[in-house]
Amino acid sequence: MRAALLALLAGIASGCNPGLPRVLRVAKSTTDPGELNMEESMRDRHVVKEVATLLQDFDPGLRLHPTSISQANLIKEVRRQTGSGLGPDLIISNGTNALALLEQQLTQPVTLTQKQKAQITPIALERVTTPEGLIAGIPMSQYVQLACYDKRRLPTPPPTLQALATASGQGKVFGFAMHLEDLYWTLGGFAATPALQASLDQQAPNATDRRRLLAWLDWLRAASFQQNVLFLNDQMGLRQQLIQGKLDWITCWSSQLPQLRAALQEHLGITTLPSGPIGQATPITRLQVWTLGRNSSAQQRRESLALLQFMVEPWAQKTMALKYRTSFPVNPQVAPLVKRQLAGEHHISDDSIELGLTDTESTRHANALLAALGAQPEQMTRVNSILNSVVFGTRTSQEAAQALQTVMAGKQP
Amino acid sequence: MTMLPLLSTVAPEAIVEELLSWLVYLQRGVVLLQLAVVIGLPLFIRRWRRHHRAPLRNRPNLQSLIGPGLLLLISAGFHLFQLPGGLIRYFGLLWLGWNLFTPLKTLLLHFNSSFPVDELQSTFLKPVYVILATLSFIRLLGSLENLARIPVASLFSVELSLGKIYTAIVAVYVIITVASRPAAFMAWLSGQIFGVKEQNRKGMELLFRYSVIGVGLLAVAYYVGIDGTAFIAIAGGLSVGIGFGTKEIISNFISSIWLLFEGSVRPGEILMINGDPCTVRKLGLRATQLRRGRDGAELLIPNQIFFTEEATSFTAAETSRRDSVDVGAAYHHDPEEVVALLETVATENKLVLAYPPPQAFVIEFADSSVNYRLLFWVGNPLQSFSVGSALRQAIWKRFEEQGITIPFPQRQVYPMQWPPQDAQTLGLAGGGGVVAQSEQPEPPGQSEEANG
Repeated sequence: MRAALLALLAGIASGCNPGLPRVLRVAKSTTDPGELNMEESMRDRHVVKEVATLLQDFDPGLRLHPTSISQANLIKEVRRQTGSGLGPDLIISNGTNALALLEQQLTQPVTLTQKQKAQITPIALERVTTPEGLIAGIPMSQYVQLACYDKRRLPTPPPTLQALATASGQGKVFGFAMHLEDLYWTLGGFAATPALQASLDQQAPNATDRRRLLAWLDWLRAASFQQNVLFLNDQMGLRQQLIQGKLDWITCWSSQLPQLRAALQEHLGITTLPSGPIGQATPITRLQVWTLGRNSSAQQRRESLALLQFMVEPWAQKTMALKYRTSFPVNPQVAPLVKRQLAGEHHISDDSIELGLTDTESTRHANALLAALGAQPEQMTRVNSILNSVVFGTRTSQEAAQALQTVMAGKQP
Repeated sequence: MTMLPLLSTVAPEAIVEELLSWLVYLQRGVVLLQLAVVIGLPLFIRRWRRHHRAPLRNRPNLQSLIGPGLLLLISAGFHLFQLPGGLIRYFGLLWLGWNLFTPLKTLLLHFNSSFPVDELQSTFLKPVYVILATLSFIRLLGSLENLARIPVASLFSVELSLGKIYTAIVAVYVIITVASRPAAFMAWLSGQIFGVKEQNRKGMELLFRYSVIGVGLLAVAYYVGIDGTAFIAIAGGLSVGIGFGTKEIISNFISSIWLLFEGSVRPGEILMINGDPCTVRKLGLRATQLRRGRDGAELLIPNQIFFTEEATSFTAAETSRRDSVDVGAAYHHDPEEVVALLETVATENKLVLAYPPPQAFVIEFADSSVNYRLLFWVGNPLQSFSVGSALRQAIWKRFEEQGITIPFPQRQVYPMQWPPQDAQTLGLAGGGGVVAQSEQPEPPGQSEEANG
């Protein structure tokens, strides 16, 4: 009855308003946690407008109207708007938020045919699929974590954490963000992810894995005691300090490159993250996921789905990736091409760009960890709090390791 | 001219685009349904009231809650059927909030009947409510961030976004509206602590108010992004502007500040304007508002008039004012008696000051009478007119009692013959009251008719 009533009203609405503009309202969440940043939202707006321009060849007359929402307020804002029937037609967020939005029934799950699924790397699709098998949204691209530095102040970026420590002893200043998502890459260097994975699986880690986790926490603690290694609260602070010349090297996300490029120009150096004593860095990727709002009319829904389909086509994927050079495609046909081109431009090897698209153990661990913690923000807060206590020296590595395992197992620390 | 490069506007297409994007909501059935309820219900209630007796017609406070209450109930019904009803709830709450001003007024007046609730509502509460309602509505439409960030103008190389302009306008309004309260408090405090007189307090209050507004405007300018360099540019622009067009405005403003410091034209002062005593009501930025005692007319006089021209004040150093009443008495009355009588009459009036004492003088031997002038002092200059009237009445009555006559010239017209056959002259004998004094007829050769 309810569906029939809505369908009738929507029919009347579309019948009565043939002259209304064909516009899809697109809400874009910021890529970093925290408040809205004007420059970033203007850039996002510009990117969505560019997509709309590309779209004109595909569907003339259809326009996209972007709005920006801070990641912290995304769910609250979407809930308020959706509760009034004024929700966006499309919501662009990360994988975690896409799952959270679906769980709170603020978005519609997407149904994909086999042909459509083939356009998206399975491992990316897996990150936006609920345990019930619902697809929260369509991954469009992914941002990778890199190291950004000022070539004038640091001619040679450190390839290993040991080299990083040496350079910091020589007066070079390094910056890290105090967030698990931002520090996750350092776990790879100590092969410490299996210990966390074991806790996540409600199992006790073996002695080796536990020792490696302790080694990682020891390194974190030792790094924080160094005068020239700074741990800041967020990525925005890191970027600002690199631009101001207070920091020489920071971890950064590919989504943030436009701001850094604009500020540092040819002095901006981009490289892969340093490896550790045991293994390579294991940076995680942030997915950009497009989800469907609940309030769209039938016509708006049709147009939204057509747009999503268009956006994962190889041509659109390649064009968007190479035009902005901030994200990597999720289409398996396009990803290697773009990866090769971008690696060549940055003079780094293809293999050193970790896209999180290959089904490796570290990718699986990262995905599982992010999915588990992303679904429960308070659990993520607890983990970050533990890391904070290590950095500020209020917890020993032993205590922190124990607390981490407890939190990962879903218990109160 | 010089302002043009400093103030350049940016085409506001983005605003139009944002507003047009709201039209897409009209393609959604659920939005149309909610709008139908929101618009239809008030219309239905109005129509129903026309044809039926309102159930709570004697209780307006409760009656005003019916409409919003119904909207909120319908919104709850939508929620029950899992339909989006937030728009109905929003307008229901908005309507309820607006209608709550009526009970609020009743409540405030119940506790304090002299509370300026109308002024508070119209100048502060309702405007603030409208501002908040506008912002929340735009936010509900998902456009607050977009609209706030749209650059619409560039002022002194500072890009002004719509949000900044809106915030600045609201802040300036609030500062100007609310500034009087802390200023009044500071003036009251100065009166309590330093014993500043009531009249000086009003002047101080204005000075404090201008200071609060000045500091507030500077803060708003800094918030908007106009820094010291921009202020220098503004000062440069103003100096040219003052030379051409705004000289009078600036002159009046500076005059008002100066007059406040000098304390010569403060609210409550009594000034003579064109021979009429007027009370200063308000010293504004451009003009002073005065109330003329004679007819209650409100006068708006540019401040620089007081600054550059002579003004008569009755309250500059002291408030008492001397006034006079002129009266004539017949020649055969002893002037000493009349003078004593006049002084007695003045002394008996309670509004006439005892010191300096009232004095009467013989001022003229006129054609028909000996003229006297009674000089007296009153404490409140605005009362001199009514005191003069009261004294004249008392003099008339006392003259009547004492048999003193007030003569006046009387003209007799005779027919064109000479000598007149029944010429009459009126004697000047007493009997009190007013007696006419005869005039000799003009010789025929000097009459107007003969000349004509």
